[in-house]
Amino acid sequence: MNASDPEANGLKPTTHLDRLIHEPGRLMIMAYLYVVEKADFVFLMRQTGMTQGNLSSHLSKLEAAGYVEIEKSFKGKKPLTMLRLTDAGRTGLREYRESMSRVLDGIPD
Amino acid sequence: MASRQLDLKQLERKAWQSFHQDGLTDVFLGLVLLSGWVSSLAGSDLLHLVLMFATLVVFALGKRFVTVPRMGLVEFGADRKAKNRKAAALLFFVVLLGVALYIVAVTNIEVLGWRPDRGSLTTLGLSLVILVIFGGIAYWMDFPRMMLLGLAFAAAFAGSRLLDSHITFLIAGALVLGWGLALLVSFVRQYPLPRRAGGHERE
Repeated sequence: MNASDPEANGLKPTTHLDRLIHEPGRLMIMAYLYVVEKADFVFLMRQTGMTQGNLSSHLSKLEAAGYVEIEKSFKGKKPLTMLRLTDAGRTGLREYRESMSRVLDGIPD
Repeated sequence: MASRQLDLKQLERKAWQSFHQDGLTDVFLGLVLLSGWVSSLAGSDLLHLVLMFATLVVFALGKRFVTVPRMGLVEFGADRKAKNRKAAALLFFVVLLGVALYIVAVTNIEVLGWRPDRGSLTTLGLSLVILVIFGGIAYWMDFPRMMLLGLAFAAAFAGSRLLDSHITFLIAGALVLGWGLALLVSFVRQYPLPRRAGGHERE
């Protein structure tokens, strides 16, 4: 038996986890967008505690994956960036939760 | 097991409650109490209505120009909207009840063989309003501080009946307003206006 093999130790493999969502910052963004209909950039920045640059970078990756929809407009003269989770994003987060639960259930108390 | 999972309900509650950290609700309710005291000094119901409207304007402007630019815009999900609808329905029912009690008091008609005097009707009506509104809002809107604010209203009201003086509205109003302003200052310091220069904010 190979001691470094997780499955041999009774642990579930983690290769099926969505690595894009698994990153803590992006997971937090997706979780916040999951519990609301839509939110703007400032709201997410406040709730997650991320910097503008960091949040922007994560959002670009999530948008490229089709998980987040970004809608830009103006409110008066100020730019407004509204964000919402797409159906694929909602499904992705639900599947990630289930996968993580299975993985964590395999860890003995 | 549950602690290992993402607690999405807790996350939604945290996001919702962050909008009440600004103290504007406390400021609004403090001004409502103070408007009761001022209008009782002037002995004018019309002044009371005008002051109540002014406090609503202060609240709306505060949310528009202080809270939203600092906390951002958000549209909450279906569960939260359903909770808010319940609270709104409760408020509507209580307002209707208040209007009915007011009409009974003004017209002095007999209801189910009971012809109450205006004072007892006011006491009954306002006690009901205080208990139901504040308890309902605290529960449905996940806003526990509302119970304390309800207590301030109840104390002001009961005190004014017992002492036959409206100074209790001044005391309670000043306390609630002071508390609200302290929260507001803390909120503004904690959340300064964000610079709009980041990637997704740059147009």
